[in-house]
Amino acid sequence: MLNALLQSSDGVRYAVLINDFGSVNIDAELIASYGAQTVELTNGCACCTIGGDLILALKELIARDRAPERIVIEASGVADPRSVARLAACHPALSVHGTIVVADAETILDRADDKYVGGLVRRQIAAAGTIVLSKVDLIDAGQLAGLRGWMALAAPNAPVMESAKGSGSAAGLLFEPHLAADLRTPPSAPGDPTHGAFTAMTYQSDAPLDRARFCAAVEAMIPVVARAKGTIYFADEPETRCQFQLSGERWSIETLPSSARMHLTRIVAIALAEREAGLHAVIEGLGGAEVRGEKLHARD
Amino acid sequence: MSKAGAADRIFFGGDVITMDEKRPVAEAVAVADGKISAVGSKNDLMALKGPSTEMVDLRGRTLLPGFLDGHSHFINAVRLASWANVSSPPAGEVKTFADLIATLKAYKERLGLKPGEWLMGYGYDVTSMDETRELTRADLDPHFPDNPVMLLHVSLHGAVLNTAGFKAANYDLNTPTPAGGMTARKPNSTEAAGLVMEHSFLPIYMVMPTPTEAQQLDGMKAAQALYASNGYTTCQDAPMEPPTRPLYHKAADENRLYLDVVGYVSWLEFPQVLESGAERFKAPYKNHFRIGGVKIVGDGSPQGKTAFWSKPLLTPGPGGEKEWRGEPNVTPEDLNKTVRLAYDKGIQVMTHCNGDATIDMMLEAHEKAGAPMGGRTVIIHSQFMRPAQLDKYATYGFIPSFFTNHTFFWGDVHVENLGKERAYFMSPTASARKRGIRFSNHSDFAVTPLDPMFILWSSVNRTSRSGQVIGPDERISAHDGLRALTIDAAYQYGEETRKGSIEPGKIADLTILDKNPTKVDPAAIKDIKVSETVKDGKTVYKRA
Repeated sequence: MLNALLQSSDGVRYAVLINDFGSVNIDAELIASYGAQTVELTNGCACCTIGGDLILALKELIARDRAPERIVIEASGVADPRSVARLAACHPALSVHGTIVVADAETILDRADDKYVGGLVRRQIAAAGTIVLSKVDLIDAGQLAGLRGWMALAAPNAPVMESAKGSGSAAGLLFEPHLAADLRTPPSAPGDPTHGAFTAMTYQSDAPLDRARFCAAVEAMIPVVARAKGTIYFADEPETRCQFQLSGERWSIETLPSSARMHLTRIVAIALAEREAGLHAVIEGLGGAEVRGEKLHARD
Repeated sequence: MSKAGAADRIFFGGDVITMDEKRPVAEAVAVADGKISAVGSKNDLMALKGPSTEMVDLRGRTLLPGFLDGHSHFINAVRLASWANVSSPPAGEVKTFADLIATLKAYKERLGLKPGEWLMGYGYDVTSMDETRELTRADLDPHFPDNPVMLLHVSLHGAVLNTAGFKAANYDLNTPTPAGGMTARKPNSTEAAGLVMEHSFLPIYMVMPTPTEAQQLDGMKAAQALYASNGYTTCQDAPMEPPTRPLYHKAADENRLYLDVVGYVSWLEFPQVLESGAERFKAPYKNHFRIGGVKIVGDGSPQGKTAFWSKPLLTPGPGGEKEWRGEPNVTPEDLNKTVRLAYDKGIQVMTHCNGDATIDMMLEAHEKAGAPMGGRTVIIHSQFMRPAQLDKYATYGFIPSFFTNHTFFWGDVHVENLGKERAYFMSPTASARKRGIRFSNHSDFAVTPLDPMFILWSSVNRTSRSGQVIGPDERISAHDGLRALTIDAAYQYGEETRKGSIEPGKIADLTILDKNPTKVDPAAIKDIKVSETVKDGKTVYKRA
């Protein structure tokens, strides 16, 4: 993912802070070959030592003659990603674009259940601004569906991007403007009953949708909806099953193999609880069909 | 007695605690060519007196083997060497703001600071002082109008600055308090008063100048003086921060070391360092420095609630979490991989484990890797164990390096967080002794003071700040407590045939105390002072 990002860096000066231990996916020399500056973080967990490498590395990078324009910090596998981001945000010269947690689709459920790292992994997922679910091509469709459901509960406010093994398709995410939002919002006070509350709405219709009307509705969804996904049949191609996904500002419609089952369009959309009215309006905008809502809670 | 040629020095006139079980006490000790040449009665050793022999009369003081540091961070002493110690007792002398200002003034004078130069201090902690409010810049400004002052909080997570300090750090006094920060404000004002903690402090910390290599090399001298003044002749840095590892090689090459320093390579750079050869990890001292092995940091600290336990705490986690039991600092995969790699090469493994869940991970890593070849696996802190884990330590030959100072500094907090049963079994020295496990005891400097007599006192008394005895059954005798600072600490380093006891043929590393810790009232052990420290037969510290 980093390699892909740097390959398409378009002259932007990047620096990459690498946690190199046991790393098989990152190669400092390769990154350097793209002209990016690298600093290896070898002094332990970036989030818990105030005198740690991270601060020193950031200070050193910023003091360079040709200071980087963008910095990617690869936190260690045991770091709290949000703490790392907050730490970096403390430097007067830096602002944080976002926190991305990459979860391996093959192993994430086992790791979240591990007797030693389970709690840690679940907290990392919950702290993500955006989740990249990697290696989705290595699990079957049933497993993927289960995993999506699990992610929606583990991190209901984080957009989830899916990527195949070795694909850099999620790289562009790193510096997208909307990601910055996840750090600008101050965390709710502990005990705040609305903390992490979401509303989900399900749209269901057995009549195919008008494509133009659907696309207009999606544009209206973007400012309101955190995530949406579903299966759609369009009136112009009533036999073709399409998969719709929306995370943040990105959305896609992909053709799926046809199914013998009933041609039912079904979309689930999730938004922050305070945007319930807006969510209802955009779902209604899809046109005359059944709409059902439910409240979700992020934690506990 | 053992015969040898004429001695360079003969020590006599006080108790000699040899820590050699074959001959626990002696009257006199002779030293020649940096080695102990003879141990025995004063009369017998007089035969070794030659024309140039220096006779050292102990005048009632007590001679012991030089102390070996079971675990600390030597680099912290290098960094703090040019900072004023504004700690409160027992770590320092500052009880009031007036004391603090006097300490800073004396320090400023000693360093000859010019206007504009930073005056730095460490150890500020108002909760241990006879004061009822936090120090402010208004307290500092009249005395230090021209020098930026920064006093690091004892937690290392914040500091008090004077007005010149805020200015030098380019910090607007009206900066809003960020999320996760704490900024003390002047009454009825939006201006910062002096103390900034956590995320309020980081913008300041981030713009502070970092010490240069030359400054750090100079700091080695003051750091060794600090260890020597506490009776240590062997010191530790574990793990060495990767960017400063070359500093030690350089200090050794430039002959800047006179105490033995053992550095442990961070597990994070272990595979890379190993590429240049496993022999580096087993090489003897070169100009007083050697690499001891690999250090893994398995979890965080119990007082910070970042250690990793198998059962939840009774109190919420650091972020208010319920049923909190902390987190490991390393994944089982990385831990297993590192331990196996080290065992395969016969390299000593030292793992920091505060909570019992991290200890489980380490026991599993050992089981998966098979028996170590030559290394003696050390578990730093072994702070909150389950009794059955000690049985496994005995079977596997693990060496715990305990940290009994915690019973004083955080004992009350641990009882609150963990309940009596678990808290009382912290650093279970007596239980380890019963199982025949050899262990060291350490300061974890700069976490607690280096003072070995305070460490000994805490292992004998286990008294908390509030006066509670944290685990009466785990108290040990002063003699057993001394083993953990001498012969058993030497065993941890694999140096027990050369160091750790006063025996003929061993290195003449010696410490002289003003009183005999096995004879004084146990409560008075902490008042014993190091009077003199001898390294390789030569005096390297003498109390004024």
